[in-house]
Amino acid sequence: MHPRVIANALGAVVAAGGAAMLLPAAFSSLTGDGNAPAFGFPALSAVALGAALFFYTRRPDTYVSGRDVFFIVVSGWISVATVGSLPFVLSGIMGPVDAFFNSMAGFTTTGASTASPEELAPSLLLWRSMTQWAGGIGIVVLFVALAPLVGFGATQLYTAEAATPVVERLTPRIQDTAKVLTYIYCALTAAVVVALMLAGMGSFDAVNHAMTTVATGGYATRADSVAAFDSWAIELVVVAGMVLSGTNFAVYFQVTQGSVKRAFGNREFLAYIGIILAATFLMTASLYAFDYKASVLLAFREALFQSASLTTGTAFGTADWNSWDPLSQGLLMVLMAIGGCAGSTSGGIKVVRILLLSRNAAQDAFRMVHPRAVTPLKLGSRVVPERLRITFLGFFFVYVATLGVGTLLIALHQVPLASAFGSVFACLNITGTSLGPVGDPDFYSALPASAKMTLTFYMLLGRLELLTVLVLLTPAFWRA
Amino acid sequence: MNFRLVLRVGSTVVLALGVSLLIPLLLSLLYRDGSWRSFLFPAAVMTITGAAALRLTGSSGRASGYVSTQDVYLSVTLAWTLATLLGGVPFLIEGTFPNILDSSFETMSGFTTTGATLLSNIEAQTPSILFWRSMTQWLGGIGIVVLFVAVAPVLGVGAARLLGAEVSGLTQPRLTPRIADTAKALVVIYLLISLAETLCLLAAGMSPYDAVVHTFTTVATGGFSPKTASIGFYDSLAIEVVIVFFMTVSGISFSLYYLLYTRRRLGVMLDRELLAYLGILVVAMVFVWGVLVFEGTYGSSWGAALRDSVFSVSSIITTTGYVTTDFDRWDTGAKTILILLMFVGGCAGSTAGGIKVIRMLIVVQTILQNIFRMVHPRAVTPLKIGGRVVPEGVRMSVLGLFAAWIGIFSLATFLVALQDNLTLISSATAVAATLNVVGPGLGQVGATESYEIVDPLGRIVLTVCMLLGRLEIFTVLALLSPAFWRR
Repeated sequence: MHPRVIANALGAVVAAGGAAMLLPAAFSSLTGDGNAPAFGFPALSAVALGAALFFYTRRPDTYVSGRDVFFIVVSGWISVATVGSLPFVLSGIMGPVDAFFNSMAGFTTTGASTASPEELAPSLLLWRSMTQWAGGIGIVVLFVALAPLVGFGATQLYTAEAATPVVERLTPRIQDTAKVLTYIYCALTAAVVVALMLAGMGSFDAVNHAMTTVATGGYATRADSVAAFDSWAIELVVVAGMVLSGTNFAVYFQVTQGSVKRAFGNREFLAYIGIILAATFLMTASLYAFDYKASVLLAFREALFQSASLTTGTAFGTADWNSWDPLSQGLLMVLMAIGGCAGSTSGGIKVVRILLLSRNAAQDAFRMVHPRAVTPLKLGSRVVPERLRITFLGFFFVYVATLGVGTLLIALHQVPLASAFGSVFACLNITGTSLGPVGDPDFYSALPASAKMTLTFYMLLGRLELLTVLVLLTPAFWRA
Repeated sequence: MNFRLVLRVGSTVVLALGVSLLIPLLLSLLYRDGSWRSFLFPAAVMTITGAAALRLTGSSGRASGYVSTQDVYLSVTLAWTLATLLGGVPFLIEGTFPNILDSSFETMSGFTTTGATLLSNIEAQTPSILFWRSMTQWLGGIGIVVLFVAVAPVLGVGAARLLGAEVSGLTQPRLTPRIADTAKALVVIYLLISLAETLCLLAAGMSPYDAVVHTFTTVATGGFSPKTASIGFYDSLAIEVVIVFFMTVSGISFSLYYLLYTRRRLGVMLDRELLAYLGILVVAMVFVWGVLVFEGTYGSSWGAALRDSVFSVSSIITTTGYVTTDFDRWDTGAKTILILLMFVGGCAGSTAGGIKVIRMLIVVQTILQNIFRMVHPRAVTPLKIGGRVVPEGVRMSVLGLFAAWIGIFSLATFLVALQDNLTLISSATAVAATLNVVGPGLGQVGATESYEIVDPLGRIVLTVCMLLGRLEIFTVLALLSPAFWRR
């Protein structure tokens, strides 16, 4: 561990979080909703503290190990969420636990909330959308530029490079990639803002929704979410935005590097689009057949929106899917667990892992018949190294085990079993919503503080793909 | 494909069923309960058909030639399917169930030692019918033990690969005597345990009929009971202690008993899986007891809470499914523990279901190694169980099985949940209880309920789940792969 490097990175994160807060502070003083001090004070102190730490520990050519990266990532998310929770507390609308829950739900792009949008001032709405947007870019940079080189997360399945400590010479390369990714992310956001305004949304709503769409977070400015606008055009724009943001940003990166064909021949991308389309058609049929929707067109509209929204873990609402038929509900739960592509802002297990899991199962059945067969695991035309097979199978087990343990932890708070499971499922898959009452701000705000903290931890677990967080809890990490 | 072997196995199953049906037939005549017609006809037909088919497919003196893994999978799946279809015939003749779907659900639940039932008023059935129902579990239990302890290690498949046998893809005919010898010893052990339990239950004050019937379903970790209230009917501490002991004993690998039997040294019982199994059992009991006491479910009667938590935890982890209390009314924390235990199950090579403790050990070790390798990317981390290194191929198959288990669980839950009047928890636990061959689930299929509420589609799905869970998924799934049928 290199404390200097860690302090340096944390200083940068805290300063950036504080700087971002100046925007809602300015917005608040413009609109006069009285929250300017609630943003101004934490912003200035975070910038001052972070910058001081950053410049004090600054030193050229530092060596960074894998362990440093894990520690920086986890503590970075926790500290930025802590800083981000201050405006909620200082504006006097909620206590520190609720504020931290909301802030973490923002920075992890989960989108769970303890307060309905109507209870929040415009500047707070803007801030919580911004937390998602910032969290989204953090995730993209982390998993596309950094994780494959250190050796964690689903994106490592794409690179044949051995997991080695990040050596100093890799840093410029990571910085270059990060820069391009940031441009792509900003361009995508700008495109969604413009498209939403063309579709008839006001500028404040358009900016907020664009930020939470691209981050696949799902915070809206109205209690009825996107349904409040009741517009075909807006829904289509949001669907396109969500689907594009659930795609591996490495695909866009490759496009900018000039290899368009390679980018869109990506197996995971094709499977991801296939899953959303298949789910949409199944649900359209089911919703129409079971008389839940009056016309095929209406059924299609809601099915498309919900399948895109829950696959990417955004969870904007256009319809109350609690009243839908069991087939559609089951499909949506499955989509939540699958999630979007590796290296995107979406949550869930990730399509690439599901692809490899099903291929692995087929190979197991094959090897039952031909015990001596050699069955390399392929992604496209590239062979996935055997050690990664253990890693992603292991990931699946950790996912199932954390889900089980989490359900137990929440169930110990006298929460009904279905809701206990649903809330853990929602937080681990970064959707923030699930069947039943889960997703309603009243559900989350009624939970005891310890349950809220548990769910907060689960959002972090889900966002950072489990092992990145869990490794910090093992003795091996802290030894030598 | 050695179809003659497959046919011979099928014929043996039919013959064995026919002969077994003679016992409830005699019992029916003895009790004069009027069900003898339901047994006489199938018993006669099956005995004759089975014997004839066995004769036609070859003399028993000759070795049956080259046996491949495919033949074994096909035979095993066929054996359980045949037993299920034919074993349900007495229920159909008796009119216990109106159609073959329901009778198959009940007999599959029997032969897979699950214990899920469609009967809501069990006492309304005649003693001989209930005897046969429990006997299917006993027969299924011995089938599983022989399959996973005697046959599978020789072929190098299933969890048996972990039990010390070298991995061999194909077998030679000369291995057959070894299988037969092991199988014989296992049958003796199984009978001895059954006998011991019957005597203990008699001593604890059960009537002879009840003692035998409960022995059948305890040793097989099945859980069928001739009483609707299950073991709760007797409300006797002595009986509960006996049953808890024998459930736990039956959840231990029979290969350990076999080693004990052949080597006569107690040291063989110091097995890593066994220790882990007992550890999980004790920790879960204490945890559930703690939750019950802490949440005040039992008021100030801590003793009653302990009694019920010990019984329920051992009943669930051994996947027996006996009930002494309606654990559906427990605190959600305690219920969650029970659901998690269903998936753990007992030891490999026992009559218990679930994913099995040894696989859990391997999966947990793999996770810890994965995390370790995040910190030390170049570390070599061989898989070790009790000091012995396990081949990487075994680790892969265990991880693969685990993933398939969860996949099937999700898919089946999805299918069962299509029924409008079932809650999500009911359908999920119904699948958990059948895939892990436990028996009762929670909610609408809970401890005091039957599976009557499940619609026909759900019943089919659950019946398939029982078979998949009992034969550890890939044995059945391999039949669906095109590679299986290709030459």
